[in-house]
Amino acid sequence: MKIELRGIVQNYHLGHTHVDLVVTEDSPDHYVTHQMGVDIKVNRGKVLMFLAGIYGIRPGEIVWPDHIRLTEEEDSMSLPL
Amino acid sequence: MASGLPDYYRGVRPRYGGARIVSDSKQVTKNIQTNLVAISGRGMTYGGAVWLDYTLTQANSRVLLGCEGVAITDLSFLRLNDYGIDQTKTLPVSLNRYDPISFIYSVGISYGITFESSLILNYLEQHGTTPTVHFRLVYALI
Repeated sequence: MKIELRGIVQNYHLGHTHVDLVVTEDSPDHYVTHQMGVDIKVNRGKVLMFLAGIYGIRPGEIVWPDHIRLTEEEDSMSLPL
Repeated sequence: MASGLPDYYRGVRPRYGGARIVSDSKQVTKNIQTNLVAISGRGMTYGGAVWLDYTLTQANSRVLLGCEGVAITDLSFLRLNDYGIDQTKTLPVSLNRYDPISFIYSVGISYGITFESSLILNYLEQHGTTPTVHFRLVYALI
């Protein structure tokens, strides 16, 4: 099964920050959302390990597009004023 | 004799995934940016809105929309109202309602804002209070 990460969404809901992962499974049109956690900080390693655990594959088999970038830890994001 | 392109060459549909929505209400922190939504990925907005109904003024506060770490819109409710920036697609964030008597403020988010790596929706409070901000964002990931 080819798993490709398509997006990481952090959104505030019912008093907590939810982190969702959007992936495609095999078909490029089959989008699936996984709830990774609540009020957590994420980095590339945590995301890969989480998805690897769900799909029972090695982390290196997950396709990570170049345009999705995470630094060491990502929580809430600010913008330059 | 046939002429023109066959039908299957026309109107290539954008290959975006299904529409997604995030919506909720959040009490923001005074005098700083509060993150409402943060998306890492590539996609496009279908629309959205941010609104609040408060007991004090929020005229100088603003909704910030950022793509790839750049704030692409950051005008306050007051400035949007002063200059009549209330047409969809004039700016990525445009004014829907500005009521300085009842303290009701609302902005809309345009359709068709593409982002290549990240999209962020924040609220910058500028009056030293903690209003509850309601938001809704509809988008798709590629």
